[in-house]
Amino acid sequence: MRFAPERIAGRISRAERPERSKGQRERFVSIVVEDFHKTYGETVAVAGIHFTVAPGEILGLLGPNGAGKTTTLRALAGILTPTHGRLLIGGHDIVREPVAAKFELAYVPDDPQLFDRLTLWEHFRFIAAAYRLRDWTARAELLLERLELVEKRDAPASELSRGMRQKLAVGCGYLHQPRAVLLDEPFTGPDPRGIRTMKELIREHAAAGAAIIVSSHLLSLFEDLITTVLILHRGQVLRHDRLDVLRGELASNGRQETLEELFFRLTET
Amino acid sequence: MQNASSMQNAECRMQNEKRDGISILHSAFCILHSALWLLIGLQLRGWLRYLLRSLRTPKGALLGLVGGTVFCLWMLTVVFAPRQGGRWAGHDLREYGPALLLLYCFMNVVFSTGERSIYFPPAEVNFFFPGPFSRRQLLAYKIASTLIVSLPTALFMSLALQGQATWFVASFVAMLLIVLFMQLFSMTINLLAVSIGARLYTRGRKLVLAWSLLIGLALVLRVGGSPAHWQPRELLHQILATPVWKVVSWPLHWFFEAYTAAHWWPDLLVSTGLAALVDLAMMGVVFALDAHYLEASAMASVRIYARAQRLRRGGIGSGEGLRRGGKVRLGLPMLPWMGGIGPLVWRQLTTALRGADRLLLLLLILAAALSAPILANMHEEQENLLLVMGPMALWLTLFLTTMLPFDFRGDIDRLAFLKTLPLPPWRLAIGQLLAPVLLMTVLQWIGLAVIGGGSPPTEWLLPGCLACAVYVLPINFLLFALDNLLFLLFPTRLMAATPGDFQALGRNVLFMMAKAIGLIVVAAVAGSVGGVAYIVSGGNWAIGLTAAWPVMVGCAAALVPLVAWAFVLFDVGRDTPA
Repeated sequence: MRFAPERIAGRISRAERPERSKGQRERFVSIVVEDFHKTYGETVAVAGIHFTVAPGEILGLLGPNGAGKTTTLRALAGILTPTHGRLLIGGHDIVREPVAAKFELAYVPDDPQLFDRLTLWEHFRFIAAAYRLRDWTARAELLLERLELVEKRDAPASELSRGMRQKLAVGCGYLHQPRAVLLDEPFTGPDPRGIRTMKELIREHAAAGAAIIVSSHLLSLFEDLITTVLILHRGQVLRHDRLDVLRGELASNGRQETLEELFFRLTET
Repeated sequence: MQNASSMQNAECRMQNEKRDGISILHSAFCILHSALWLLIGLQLRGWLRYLLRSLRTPKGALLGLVGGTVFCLWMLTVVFAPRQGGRWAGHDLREYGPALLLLYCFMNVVFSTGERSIYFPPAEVNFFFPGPFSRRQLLAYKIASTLIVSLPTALFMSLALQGQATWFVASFVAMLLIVLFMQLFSMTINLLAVSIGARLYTRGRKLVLAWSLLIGLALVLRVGGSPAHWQPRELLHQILATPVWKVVSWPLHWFFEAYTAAHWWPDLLVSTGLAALVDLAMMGVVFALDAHYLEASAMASVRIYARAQRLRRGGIGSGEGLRRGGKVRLGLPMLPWMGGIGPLVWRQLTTALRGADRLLLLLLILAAALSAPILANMHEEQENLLLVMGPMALWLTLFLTTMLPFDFRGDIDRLAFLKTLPLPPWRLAIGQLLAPVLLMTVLQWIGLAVIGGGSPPTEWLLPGCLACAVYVLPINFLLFALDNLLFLLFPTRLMAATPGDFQALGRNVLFMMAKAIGLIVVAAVAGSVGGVAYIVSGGNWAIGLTAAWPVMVGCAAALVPLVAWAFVLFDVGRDTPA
């Protein structure tokens, strides 16, 4: 079966979507982080950050180890409770309306843990039941094909390599066509081919209107993917800008600096 | 088609949003999400599939057969064992049962040092917490899965206690309700801890302990009068007869009424119904609390998972499982090179030292097991005492070797690294085996010293203890070498067994038998040499034992090349178990 990007990337094409004004649509698909703080006792993991991710935007969440990237993503996914601040997914507060917010969301952690004794297909069955999807099998087949997991369809998850586990977790995340996608270090497990496929899927989802956050501490891995950069350091935002703005800035100030060098300069001073 | 799916999602979103506001009672009964039911079914199927798949291999089939046979034999002895005339059933159980259950609850609150949160395995955290489920739906899932896990537990326990019960149906139903109550109680306490905060909870439970002790003491003094006249059984009877106790234990006594019920109606149905109501009330409390437990559970899940992974690598004796961060304080000076053996022994001993609490526990078990016959036979013949203690010490050593896996077994995920070391396999084998052998020997010597010092002196005691002290070293080496040989030939993780895993049971039985047979063969060879020396020397025990010792050492040393061969044979890619 030939892969149809518009079917994978967008749950429904723009033309098919229910009529909504642009403002309404943005309200429903964006990610909003307002004055987010997270502390553990006296340790401050995140110290009051603000940002939004618009539909179609791919935000690269950058920062060294311990910067607060995973904490931010886990809080956005509803796993951690913010100490202070508001986190909205598609207009729903993740603390006050968690179920509604999570219906719009997919979160893929850096080291995805699967149900070891369930097959790949059974994982999809569970996700389909959880999000009450109808007619999901064709889409699941396409995702399996796209992620090169067709041969493992009926194998238990315990038999998968780390890269395959990550691919399956991504597949499960995309099955319900979320409008907000949070990917924590998605490029550390898969092979180069898998990384390329994942990047394609991310682009297609963004093109279909999803707001996407990809975290990494290696800028080089997603420099060609993201539209916006947010650099976190010790729980604070050091820089939040569009990638083209940053590039333009670097080109104009005569520093001959790469983005990576800019990242090191910001985080090591 | 896609539109329908979208609409369906939106509809369900609405339903879920509405459900958040619906009453607790409705939540308790109706909210188990259909996907979570599906998952329970899929997991059961996955577990069965795993069992069947592993039975298809010759090794798995053999182990399953042995394990199944041992289990069936045990079941037959349980089922056909003569009833003990309701020693516990009836009045005694009804009187003391609630006190035991309450004691469990009290211990759970006061003495538990584990994670105070509801535990979700990492896969559940990954899929459930960011998934479209409310906290109550997840609690309902936890309760449902607890109930399902409680079924085989209750069945096993009611079969094991069959001799003490009056009627199997009653004992099974009551046991199920008791197990469920215990789980729900634990869940309630965990939610309370999350609700009021861990620190406050810790302070609170200290207060609970202090108040409970004070109340208990006051009750004892009031009922029993002066401590000089206390008769423990009488005192317990008097306390259990107080109105305070009657009120406190009233909800709990229905579980034991159900356990001892002799007829369907009214005994079993009425008491079971009331006990079930107690469980339902606990469930209500769990749903009513509905704290923001997700974060605490996610954090606990990460910690417990990391600990479980360490346990899987190093076994329960490694001590790694109990380490709780912080700086490492205990260390050993590096041992001499000794052809590469020294650093290997140093590494294993350092690991063992950092799990010193486990070693102490082991020592306590040894000491308690070995001192019990002394206390019980204080006035008996010392020769008889040695005859009792010898086999017991041997059996304990056989059993306890699994608790000190500071050898190849604990290095299951590091065998690839060991293979890269520039050492010949035989030296590697010695280096890997020496640490647990030395540890076990030192523990046994301490035990022997305690026994030697604590027992009434006789002409047999000192020579007997000395002989044991000399012999334990080769015996321990032999047992650990056998354990490692079997492990390298048939690798498995020490913590890999799951409930109902007959293969694991079969493996344990076979390994234990192999070790026992190995020991018997070596003992027979050494015993023959020792016997000849004893006869030739005209009945001198010392000469007989001295002659047998080098044979024992030789047999133990002969296993080193075998272990080295098995290590070379071990294929890291193929043989490392999941």
